[in-house]
Amino acid sequence: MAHTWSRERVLALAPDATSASAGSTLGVAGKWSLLGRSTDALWGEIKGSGSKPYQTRIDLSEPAFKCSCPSRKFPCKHGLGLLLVYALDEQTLTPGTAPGWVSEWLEERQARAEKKAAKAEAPAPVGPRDEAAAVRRAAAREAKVAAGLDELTLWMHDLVRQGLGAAQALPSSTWQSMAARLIDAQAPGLARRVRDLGSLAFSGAGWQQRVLTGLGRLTLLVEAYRRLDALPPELAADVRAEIGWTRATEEVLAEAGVQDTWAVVGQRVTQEEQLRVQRTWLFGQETGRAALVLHFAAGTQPLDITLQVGTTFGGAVAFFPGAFPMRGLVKDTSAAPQPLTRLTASPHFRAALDGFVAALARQPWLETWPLAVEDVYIEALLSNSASAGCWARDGEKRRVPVQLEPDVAWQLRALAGDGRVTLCGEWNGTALTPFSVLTAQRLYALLATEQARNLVRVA
Amino acid sequence: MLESLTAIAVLGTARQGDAALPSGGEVGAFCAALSTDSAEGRLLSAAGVLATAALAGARPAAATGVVEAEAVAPQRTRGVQAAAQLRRVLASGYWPLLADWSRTTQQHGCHAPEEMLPALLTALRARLHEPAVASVLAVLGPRGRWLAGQNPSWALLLADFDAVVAGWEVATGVERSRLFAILRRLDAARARDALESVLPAEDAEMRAALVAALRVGLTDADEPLLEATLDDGSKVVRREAAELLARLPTSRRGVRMAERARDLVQVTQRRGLLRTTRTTVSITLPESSKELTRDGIEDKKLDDLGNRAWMLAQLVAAAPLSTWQTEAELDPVAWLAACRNDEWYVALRLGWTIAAARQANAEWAAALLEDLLAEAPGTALGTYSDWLPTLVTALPPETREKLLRKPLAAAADGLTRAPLWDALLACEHAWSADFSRRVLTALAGYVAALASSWDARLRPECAAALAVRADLPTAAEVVGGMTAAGPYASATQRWVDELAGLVQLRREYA
Repeated sequence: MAHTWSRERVLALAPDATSASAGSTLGVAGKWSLLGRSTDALWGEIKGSGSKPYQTRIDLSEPAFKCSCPSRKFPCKHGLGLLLVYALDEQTLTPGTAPGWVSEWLEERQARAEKKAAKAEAPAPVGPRDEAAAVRRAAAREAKVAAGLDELTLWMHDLVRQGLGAAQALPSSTWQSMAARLIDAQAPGLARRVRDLGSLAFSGAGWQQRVLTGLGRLTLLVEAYRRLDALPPELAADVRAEIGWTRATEEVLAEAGVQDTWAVVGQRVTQEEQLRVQRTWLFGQETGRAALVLHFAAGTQPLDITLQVGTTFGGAVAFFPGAFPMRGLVKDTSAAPQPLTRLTASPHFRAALDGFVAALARQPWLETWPLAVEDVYIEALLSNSASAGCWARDGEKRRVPVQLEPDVAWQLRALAGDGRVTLCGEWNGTALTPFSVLTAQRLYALLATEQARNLVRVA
Repeated sequence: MLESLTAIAVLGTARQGDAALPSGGEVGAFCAALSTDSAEGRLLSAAGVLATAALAGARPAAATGVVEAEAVAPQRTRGVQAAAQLRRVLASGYWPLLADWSRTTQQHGCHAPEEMLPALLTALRARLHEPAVASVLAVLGPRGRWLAGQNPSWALLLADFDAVVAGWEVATGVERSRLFAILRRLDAARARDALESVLPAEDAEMRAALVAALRVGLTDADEPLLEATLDDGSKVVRREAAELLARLPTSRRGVRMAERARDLVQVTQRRGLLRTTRTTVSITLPESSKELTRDGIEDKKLDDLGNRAWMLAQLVAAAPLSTWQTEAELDPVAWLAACRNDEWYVALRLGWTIAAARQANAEWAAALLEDLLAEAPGTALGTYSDWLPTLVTALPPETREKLLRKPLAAAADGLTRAPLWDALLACEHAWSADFSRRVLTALAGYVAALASSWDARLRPECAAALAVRADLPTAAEVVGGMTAAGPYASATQRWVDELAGLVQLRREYA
């Protein structure tokens, strides 16, 4: 990978805060008894609590870490420390040929990668028994989902019959148990929506309408699933995806995809039930399309870091099939990413939101719309309840509320400095949640650094 | 339409019955097509349709009351790393480190990066009452000043006297005394006048806190008010006033003390053989009196000193040091030599130590420190441990290093003596390479042999203090090789790592 390593990028790989701080204490060259590097690997030896020093290896192409310490964390603090030493000053590592224990590991990785590629190209032949089993499984799942949806409909009707006014008094277990039953019915997408509705009930003034609209859109989704056969195939694919069917990435990657210069403008990591989900937004500079790339990681697995906010790359993005394709996969990452200096953006909010109308007409279950608007002025209007009500005003003198924590809102105002900026974020119908801002040819992205979210300069 | 549906949904279809569905246009036709057999189903479907339509149609409202503004100039910063470095400096929470970073940044003609301005302003606001803040304010730059103006809390950083006074008049508690410290920094005379008018109405605790805050920008012009405060009804207030008057040698109290001191400590000089002068000193202990109590001399015991001995010490401590120079043509070293054999020498020396510290007299401080260190480096320092740091502060940098070199080398087990450690930390100047090496090598030896589990020396602030003052190349070298050993090695090692990290950070932004 051609991107340079900075201290923040290294510490962002840490699985938790204690690893990050432990790794940073080891990021001093003086602690390592042996340091070396080659064109795409780093290695080092460091004294640990055992008798022999720990041997740490890093394959820079991904990066991948391997260390002989007994830690279960990935990457361990020694890996982070070694990469930090490299990030600070690569001269502290002596260039040379890798010793045996490093080259062996690199060769093993190479062999594994080749085997995986070979397997992907020649998929195992599916026998007739496997096919029949697959068909049976699919039918069983459809039946389960249908049963789950019936239960959901009954539950929603009960809610409305008794009145939403009582909904706030319901224990959270009501929503949680419905969501759990939907997970059992193999409809995780619906489960997530039900959980979100549960938290909406406590979202402040006007919650009744928000909960009702959520229930309403959920009803329409359930109806759509019941009439799945009558739907056009792309919309059917979308409905299945919204319910929670996963789609095979190999099929998607087989397509040609959309070729463009893609700018990586925002990234957010959220914690779902057992999984961490990383959402990365790409804006195509020539086609004007937006793409959402999802990566998942379970437990302490590292998240994919090939897409760094503040870079652009020329390449193809293959979209998952749907009525209005949003989710995509980057086809190949061989092109070296360049730092981002300009961004094609909509001239005002109206232009950006017209795209949303067209998209909703085709896929009515979209929840948010990514946009980039230039010539934006950041205002602070003191409303009677909020202490720092942050608003964005566009060139047409229309304003939208900006949803940000107060500390980050102040950072945004400091960066804007009463001037005009390009704001990138998600629109949910009422407010804009920013994920990055471009000002004076510098891009600042909202990243989680050390437990808090902050605007950090990325380009 | 959605509102009416919501109203029905809130109360429930069981009570409200069927909802009136939208009927007109495409929306109505669509809802009719979605005919389901239950009232709930119809209501939910209609809600879903309306919600989706609302989501598509939502547009930002036109802005009213638009005020066009001009962009504030962007900041000149020291490169891409500046923000990350400042974040680490602020995260450490150590004020001297922030002051050091600010000084270095200003030397390069740069300011704080924009995205760190809110965090920096919050940190400065918390320490606003400290005089050192003024030097850091310059690093805010034009955009920082503009941003501070946008937030009333931060605006205090740049407020002028009248704005702060308005806030001070209604403030209570700690905030009130802190704001007063700010007022003193801005305009000492006007602040004193404001205090005079307000003082009679305050309660004792507040009076004491405000009088103590007069320490900021203390000058002889404050003497009349302080002299008057010596008659205050509350003891704590009188004590504060006496403490401050002790720092004003030309005050009336100082003159009174000088007279009393001259009465108690009599010097006779006799010409002896071979043109040598023999000096004898006779010391009498004072008697307690009302005037003495008014001037803040307490009739109490202190450790090994009896009542009257401690009163002598307080008296000597309150007298301006020039008294001794005028009484006899003796310099501080000669005075100490002359009095050494007297039975009350200990009280006298304690008094002189306190006086030298309060009056920041370098000559007396040097003589006293040498005397203290010569006596028995370990034990003597213990007796004067409270006053040692201020004594050291009174000395010029080279003298500090020269005098502390000896006890540093002499202490066989490194820095076991806490007073020596405090004295080292009181050396608030940029240490020379040689001194840095001596201190850090002694520290390395100490850390390698530490036998107790918690050591007052190894507080987090001490790591920061060392990192800020030590000469960087020397520090990087010595600290890099520092490792903790012994039974509590892991906790100590964490402290050493913290120190190493701070030294590293300083090297990065230097």
